[in-house]
Amino acid sequence: MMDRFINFFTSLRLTVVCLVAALVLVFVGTLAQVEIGLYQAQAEFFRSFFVYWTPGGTHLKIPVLPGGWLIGLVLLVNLLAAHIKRFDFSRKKAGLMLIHSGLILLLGGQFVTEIFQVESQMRIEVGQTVNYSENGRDNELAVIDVTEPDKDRVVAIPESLLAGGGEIRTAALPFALRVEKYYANSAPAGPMTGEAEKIKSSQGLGRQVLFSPRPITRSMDRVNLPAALVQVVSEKGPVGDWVVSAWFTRHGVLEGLQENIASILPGVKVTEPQSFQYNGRTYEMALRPARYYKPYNIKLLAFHHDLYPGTTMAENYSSKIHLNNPATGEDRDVLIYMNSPLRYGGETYYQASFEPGDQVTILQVVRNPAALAPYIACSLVAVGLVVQFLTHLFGFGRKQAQRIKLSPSRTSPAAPLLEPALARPERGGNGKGRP
Amino acid sequence: MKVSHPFVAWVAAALLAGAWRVDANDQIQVYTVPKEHPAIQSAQPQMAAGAAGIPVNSAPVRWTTPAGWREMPPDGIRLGSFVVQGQGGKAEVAITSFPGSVGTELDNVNRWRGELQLAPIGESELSAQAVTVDSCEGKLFDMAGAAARTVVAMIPRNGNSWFIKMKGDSAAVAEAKPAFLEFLKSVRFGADEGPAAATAGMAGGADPHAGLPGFANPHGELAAPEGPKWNVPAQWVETPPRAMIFKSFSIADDAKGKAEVTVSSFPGDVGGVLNNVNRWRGQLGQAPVGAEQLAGVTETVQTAGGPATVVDFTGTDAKSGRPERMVAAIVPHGGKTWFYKLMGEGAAVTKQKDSFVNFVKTVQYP
Repeated sequence: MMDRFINFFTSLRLTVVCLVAALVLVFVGTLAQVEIGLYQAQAEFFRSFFVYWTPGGTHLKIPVLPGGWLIGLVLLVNLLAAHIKRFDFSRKKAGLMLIHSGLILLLGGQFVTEIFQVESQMRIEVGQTVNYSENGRDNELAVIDVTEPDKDRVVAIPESLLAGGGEIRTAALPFALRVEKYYANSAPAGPMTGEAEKIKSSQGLGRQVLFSPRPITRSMDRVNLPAALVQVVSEKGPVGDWVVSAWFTRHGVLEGLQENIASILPGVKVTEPQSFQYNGRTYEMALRPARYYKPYNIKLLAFHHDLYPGTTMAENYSSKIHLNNPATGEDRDVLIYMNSPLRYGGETYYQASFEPGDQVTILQVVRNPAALAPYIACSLVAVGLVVQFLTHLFGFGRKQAQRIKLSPSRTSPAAPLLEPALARPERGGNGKGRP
Repeated sequence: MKVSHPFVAWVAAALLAGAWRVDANDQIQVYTVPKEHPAIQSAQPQMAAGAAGIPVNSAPVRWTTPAGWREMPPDGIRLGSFVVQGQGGKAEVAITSFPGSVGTELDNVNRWRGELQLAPIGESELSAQAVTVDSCEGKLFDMAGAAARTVVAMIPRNGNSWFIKMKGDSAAVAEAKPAFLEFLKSVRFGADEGPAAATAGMAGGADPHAGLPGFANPHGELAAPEGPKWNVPAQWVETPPRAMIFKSFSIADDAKGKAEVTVSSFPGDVGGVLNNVNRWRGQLGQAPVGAEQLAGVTETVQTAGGPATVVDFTGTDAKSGRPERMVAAIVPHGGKTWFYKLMGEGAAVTKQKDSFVNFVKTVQYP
């Protein structure tokens, strides 16, 4: 049984099947991208173990193709297994070993990247100090106990749980949250506007600012702005309901909404937290970009937007920041500019964007535990190729020298130079084939 | 058989890691964080303590602190902060800067008066002294309440509004005012400051609302979403960027008066045509109209971006109290709504209306 298992995972056929499956997946995934957009295609086809098909009118998820993760994983296992089973370490095969190790590291590193990499953005205004970054697409329902004067206790509920609807109960909250309505993408609506479906709450901003559903956007340069009607339910019954929306929390849209709302509904501030009292404690609720807190602070000292003299063409963008880590005592200024990121605390901060007015910088924050893997992998492969080439070259040279020594009468060295290579191609292991 | 154990263990570990990570995305997380503003402030004393390495006033403004003023660490809003302890009590000085005009002078003065429990005043009662700060012309407002007094220098610079404000006990403010005026002379706006006014502060005329921030690739290349292309009439002069306004132009006509053109754009329908038409009507003190009357106050114009709803209202500007005329257009295009507004003195707007409508018609959207 174990032999069959091992034979299956070490076979060259499996390698070929995986490569063909990858080919099909890339082809189908690329076609699908036209319809469903890049992010969705990446998630469904490449960042998944299986590609599912849902027949119309049902909630069934039928796996129809292996996903990118599965193919990559099987390929990696295949390569590792074949390697361990077939290769005996010898000086002659040192190059091959290095090449294969590089490939294994490349696949493994990519797998780790796919699974563990987190990309987020840090938006900082000049003079502001920030200790968290935000996800560019994913949101969370944050229910924050703000009663204490110096700290907040945050219960962050992923948007996926809101999307599931129903009641959210957690031991971290003394009440339940009933998701009465959830729109994956929404647009603000007025009480008098003609949308067929709108959500309105009995408490908070949602009394004046209504939301209607919008089709989910799959475009690369737009994000979905969800809205939900959430009811807070105690053991004794409902406490009240609130409308939460990314429109109130995501920079880039909330300013526009505020301006419009301010003209229509003077006195309404969409940025004001929506709070309520429960059992003598004060809570705030917001559907905000998912946050990643850091154990250090970053303050933006200045943002520069340099232009080529006499033109409006950007020459350079840079952010001068001050990094303060109370835990390590680190306290220094750093200049982040294009192609010169800050690498700190396992994260890389790139100068990514800014807001008009040059008072706000946006840093792309990438946490990738396998960031170095491709560099090391490529170096290994390169060194392996050189070693392999030199091993052959020296071996070949030695044989030629011997040959010439044995038959001094031959005058043309060209013919024998080709002969051995044609007659006896190098094969690895037992010659049965290898991935 | 030599491969079985490490091999099986590896597969299991990889699958478990994957499953755990996928699962972790759906987990409720609970954590405690310092309060956002106190967090900012609490970090500061540590920085101030190590003041040698902390360029408290390194950017974007510098000053010379008068003797006897205690410099406080800046916070998220204040770029500079001081406590002045005098014989007559205590006063605080703060330096702040905001993009755009941050309301009219009157709005700001009435806000400061409100802090001193003083009644709001009208435009005619507004008085100020001229003040020069780092070669920028500004205004100095001085208002005294029952026990407290506020002296503020308001300096527009490169599209930003700077406020240097001293507020405190009346006697302390009176005592510190000469030092405050000297302090104003010492203020230097660094080269760091200000969105290069002539460049409108945006990469390639980027639309601030076209893409949400942060969608550049992580390798440092900036997202510069394409803005629309247009031909600006000769008499229009582009003005520095303001918060939430994509582009603005001023039109000064010696004979006809002043007018301003603003272009803004927001995702979605932004409440629909009726709400926006009524919003504009409200700005000119006009009563809102119902859906059935909408056709009577609007006209539809074909533009390069699709049909536009154009309005033309005359009334009294709710902010300035002056008679003004507004010609405005709403163009829904590409999932966004573009708002074009020409507003100003009646004669100037009348003269510019054709150019404005033609401008709206010919805008080429990306």
